[in-house]
Amino acid sequence: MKKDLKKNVSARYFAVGLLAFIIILLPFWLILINSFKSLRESSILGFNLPSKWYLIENYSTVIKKGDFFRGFFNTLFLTITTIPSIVILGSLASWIFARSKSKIISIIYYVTISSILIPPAVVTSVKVLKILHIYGSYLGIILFYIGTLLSFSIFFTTGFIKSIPKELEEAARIDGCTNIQVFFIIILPLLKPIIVTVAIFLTLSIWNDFIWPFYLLKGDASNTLVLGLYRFVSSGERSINWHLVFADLILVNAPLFIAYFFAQRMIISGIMGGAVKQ
Amino acid sequence: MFINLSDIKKNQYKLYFLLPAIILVSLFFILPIILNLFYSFTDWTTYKSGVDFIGLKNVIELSEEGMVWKSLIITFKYAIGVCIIMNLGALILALALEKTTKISTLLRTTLFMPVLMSSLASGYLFKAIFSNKGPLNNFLGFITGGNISFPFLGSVEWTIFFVILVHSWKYFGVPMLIYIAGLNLIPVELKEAAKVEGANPLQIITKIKIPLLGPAFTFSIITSLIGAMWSFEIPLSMVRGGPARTTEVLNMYIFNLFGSGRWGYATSVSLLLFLIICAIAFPLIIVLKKREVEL
Repeated sequence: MKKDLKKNVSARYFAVGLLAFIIILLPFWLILINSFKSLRESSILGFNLPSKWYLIENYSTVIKKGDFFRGFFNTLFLTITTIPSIVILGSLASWIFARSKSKIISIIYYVTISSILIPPAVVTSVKVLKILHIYGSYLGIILFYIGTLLSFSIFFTTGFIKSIPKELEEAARIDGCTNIQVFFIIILPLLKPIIVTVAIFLTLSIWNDFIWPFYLLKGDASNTLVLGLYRFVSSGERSINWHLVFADLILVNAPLFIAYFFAQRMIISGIMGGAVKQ
Repeated sequence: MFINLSDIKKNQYKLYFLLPAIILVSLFFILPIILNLFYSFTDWTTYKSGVDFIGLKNVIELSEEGMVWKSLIITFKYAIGVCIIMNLGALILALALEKTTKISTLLRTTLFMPVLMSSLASGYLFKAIFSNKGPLNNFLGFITGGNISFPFLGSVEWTIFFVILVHSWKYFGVPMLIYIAGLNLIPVELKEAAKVEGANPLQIITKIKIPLLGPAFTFSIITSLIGAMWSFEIPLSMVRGGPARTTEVLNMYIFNLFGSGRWGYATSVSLLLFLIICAIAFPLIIVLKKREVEL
């Protein structure tokens, strides 16, 4: 009977493995291998190896035409300025939300986290940034991201803080810590697991975001990786040059895939851990 | 109903720690929604400097134009389709990969990869795969021995289904991991006891595992439904809302109205989308939460 069970399990893994091969690996191979082909050969969209490799030609064309490095640094800048701000401001607010027993604070909490489900209003967000004279700039989109994504951090962190015993904080206060010290020395380090989860989701959504850079950025600032890809494909003639589009796809997605390769365990367990906490 | 200051002072939780969050949320989330309500009833456009209040004229003109209703139905089809296909697929894969072994970890890691990709990029990838002379048609031609060129992206009836499939493909990794995490929380004794009582694997799944996944279902059904109601990158990059606007979801309609400078109209449609999402989200949370308690 045990043998039967084992057979069953390996048949199951074989089935899922086959599925993963067809729906994940084959499409990724299609992108990769066609990004090395000539225009003519890539238009067939085959899975075979290129008869002649156009590796340097294709990638250097995309890097130059799409101004890849600027796009990369712009996207990186947006991601690394926004996420720590959201995490710190969100944790600070969550601390108060988790510890307060006041009704008003709890109403404010529910209004704040409602933006997890309710999407922002598109056109009037542009208007608000224009009124504040920060439309089109990084400052504008960063503040906007913080305002609309804080809810996500607060939702996950508040529950987490509730499970931290208050006595820890009181002990620190008796030792003479000020409020802000209690937060940074005691609370924030304990939040590490949930911060990892929140930061992973935020990185995925900001790095890959199309909608908000499209609406809120202007001119040179608007050259993010994803917007660059969009403009590159949209500006093409009627037929798409798949070899270049695929090379651009690789470049746009490579940074996150490289990060995933090195931190897959942390990322997978971070998401699963965050799910269980809720 | 007043702020209990003594309570907060006693515990030394300073309210001003909340201030940055409250200010930013009010300014960039709540204020645009309030302004949206106001501008929905104005003739705000790019062609005219002033903004005048015109009552329900936008609403009337939009409903006469008819596209908004079509778009609304497309949005519902899209969101419900994504919600069903994505969660069903994620659940089946989670049940298959529930145990943590070397192979299942490798498979989870592989299956999760589309989540890392930008939605726009996934749309372009499948635009290639589904194209008339693309790999999928070639494969179908190969197994049937004929020359097949099914218009995956050019069919007014079927294209929306393929767009739904791609959206599900791009995002199913997250619910899959959530379901695996949920399944791992179910006490082993419960499954063992059921086995001893003579339950078959299917019964264990339907009578024990699925009911106990309640909280995971709540979270993932709501987020996938609302995520699909709001996002439009995949229909945009795959087919630009076509053919014949049959995949133009509401948010892409707003995107197009915005692009053509009809801002007042755009805010009216935006208000509609906002009201619909509220009308779906809040009752759904209550219904699903209630079921959780009963189980």
